[in-house]
Amino acid sequence: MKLSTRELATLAVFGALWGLVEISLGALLKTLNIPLSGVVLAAIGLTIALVGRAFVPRRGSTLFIGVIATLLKLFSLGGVILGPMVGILTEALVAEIVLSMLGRPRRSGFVLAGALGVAWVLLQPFVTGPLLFGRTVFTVWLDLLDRGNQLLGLDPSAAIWIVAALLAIHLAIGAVVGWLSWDIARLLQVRLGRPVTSTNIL
Amino acid sequence: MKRLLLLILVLSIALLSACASANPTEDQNTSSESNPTLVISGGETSKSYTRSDLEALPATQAAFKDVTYIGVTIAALLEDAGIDPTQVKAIKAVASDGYSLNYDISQLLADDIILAYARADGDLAEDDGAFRMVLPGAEGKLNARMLVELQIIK
Repeated sequence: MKLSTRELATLAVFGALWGLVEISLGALLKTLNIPLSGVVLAAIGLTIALVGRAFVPRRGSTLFIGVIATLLKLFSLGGVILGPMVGILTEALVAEIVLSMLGRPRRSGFVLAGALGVAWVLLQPFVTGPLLFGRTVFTVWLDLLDRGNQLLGLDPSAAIWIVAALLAIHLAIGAVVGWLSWDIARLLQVRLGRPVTSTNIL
Repeated sequence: MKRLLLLILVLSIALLSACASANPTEDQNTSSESNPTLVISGGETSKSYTRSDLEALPATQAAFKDVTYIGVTIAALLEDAGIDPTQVKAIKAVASDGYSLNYDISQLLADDIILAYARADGDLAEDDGAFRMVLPGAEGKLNARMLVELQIIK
């Protein structure tokens, strides 16, 4: 895959947008200890990445946007924070894998990529906790049950229901993100007067 | 276009309201603001500590982000509370704003990991609350602040 200069510049703009959102809103939400802050950030970030994918519908473009955003996150106010950086990169990677497997851009692909990308927010601590922060899967699991208890009012003993509900919420939000990204991309392309070809989503 | 904007607006409001909904335990220690306490609880055990109670225990120093803190090791705290660390699977630290974090007991028993009640140069900063965890070298969110309770999970 070889991207033109124009395509690289377009992807860099979308990556920079995602990165700026992470640096500004991300720092704010984390400071305020707001539940679901990771979901909010992933939803916004994936929207940007998916719209970017629509503008450059080439294999690897979503991941490229994620890489740019990750690099920008290095300049976050709180210094180098590994967790969110891994989060951005893996969300972009998950979306990239889905979109690449499905081939030609279509709404269903965007919905699936958004859903799985946001769902990754739920699963990521189980990977990064033990690998990067010396935590055990057991304590990450306890955290998950506590979050479910706080958000849904479910007793931590109802573990299956908590996990099912949280997963459903993440998937649903991600699916809406994918659906909206498709429409936003279409709208932007019309507004910007981009030529409609078989390679873009119109 | 209008429908799309409306949908985005509704989604944003839903997400933000979900975010704002769950900060349940604002200032659990307001009743004792002048003399805040830390509760160690779990099973049949429940013991409250004030800063002076903790100062009576052996003091240890630990540094995080270029700040040196004074506090007690978790091992010393558990011993004083009459809890056998070998019976503990995890400890849940609860902050006054509702934030909580579970620690594996093996992660907390190192000599340089402390529950801090002061800085080397004075009191804890206001946003540290009365008590905070100090895990040198660990990620920021593992260094929980504004602690009001440590729940023992056996």
